[in-house]
Amino acid sequence: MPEAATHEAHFESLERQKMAARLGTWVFLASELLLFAGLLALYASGRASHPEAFRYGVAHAMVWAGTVNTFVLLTSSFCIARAVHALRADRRRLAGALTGLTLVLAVAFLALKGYEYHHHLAHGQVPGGRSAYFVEHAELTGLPAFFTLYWITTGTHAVHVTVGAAVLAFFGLSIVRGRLRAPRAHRLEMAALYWHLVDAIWIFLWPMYYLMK
Amino acid sequence: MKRRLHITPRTLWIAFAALLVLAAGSWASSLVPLGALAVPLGLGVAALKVAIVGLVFMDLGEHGGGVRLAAVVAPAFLALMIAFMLGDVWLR
Repeated sequence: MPEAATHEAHFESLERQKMAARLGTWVFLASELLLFAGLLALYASGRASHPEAFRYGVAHAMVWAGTVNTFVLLTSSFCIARAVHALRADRRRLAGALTGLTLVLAVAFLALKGYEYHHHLAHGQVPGGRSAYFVEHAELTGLPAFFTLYWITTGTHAVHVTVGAAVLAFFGLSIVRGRLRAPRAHRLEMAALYWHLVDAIWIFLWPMYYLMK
Repeated sequence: MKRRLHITPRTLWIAFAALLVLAAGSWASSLVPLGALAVPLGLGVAALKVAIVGLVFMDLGEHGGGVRLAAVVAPAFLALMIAFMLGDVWLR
């Protein structure tokens, strides 16, 4: 049954409820960013301590895969932002299609990331530095740290992409089934905010692990 | 109290185009040996892209003080943590 534009009893208006939801989501996003803070700080420390090893690791990354994934995430971010606008204007079909496209792009990101992980495993670029690859590059003492950080950071990010994709699938279905309409568009907006954070984190991971040679 | 919608679909398209141009620029700059400039340039362009995502896609300019505070505090703590970390490495 379509939702009416009513608010929860403990809010004085729907607008108040939306403001509270936005603030709560932003505080949650801030805590999510702090989850990555330790990993980003470790990268900074590792890069400052072992600049050659980190540059070598970056120079041997699958740049094309990281670049394609960057464009995939940027496009997905645009799609979900546009979907929120469409739903606010009660253009449910467009909102549903754009949310679906965002979901497809999320799956494409994960598929390409999976391919990239497979490539790294095949070349012995594993977390922990216990493979022949690291024996061959024993002079680069920071290389194990680079790949361990690469796996943990991009893996944590991939988990966030997966969670985001699940949330988008839920809201996409809600829109298609008519359960989510313009008066409750802020619910999709909250999911979109999470998705934009996932995109924003990747925007930094891309130069850190693929470009800054 | 009606929420104003300053961000239009056209604004979203312009922001998206800017993001694509900046991303293409990031990739192109990685093909050039930049030496010590690689890190500040890479992170600087990334920060610019995130600012566009935040201001346009996340509609940050339309939100109140509480939201803006939450959006600023976490990156500020992150920057502080990285600054202390780098300070420790460089002062060893």
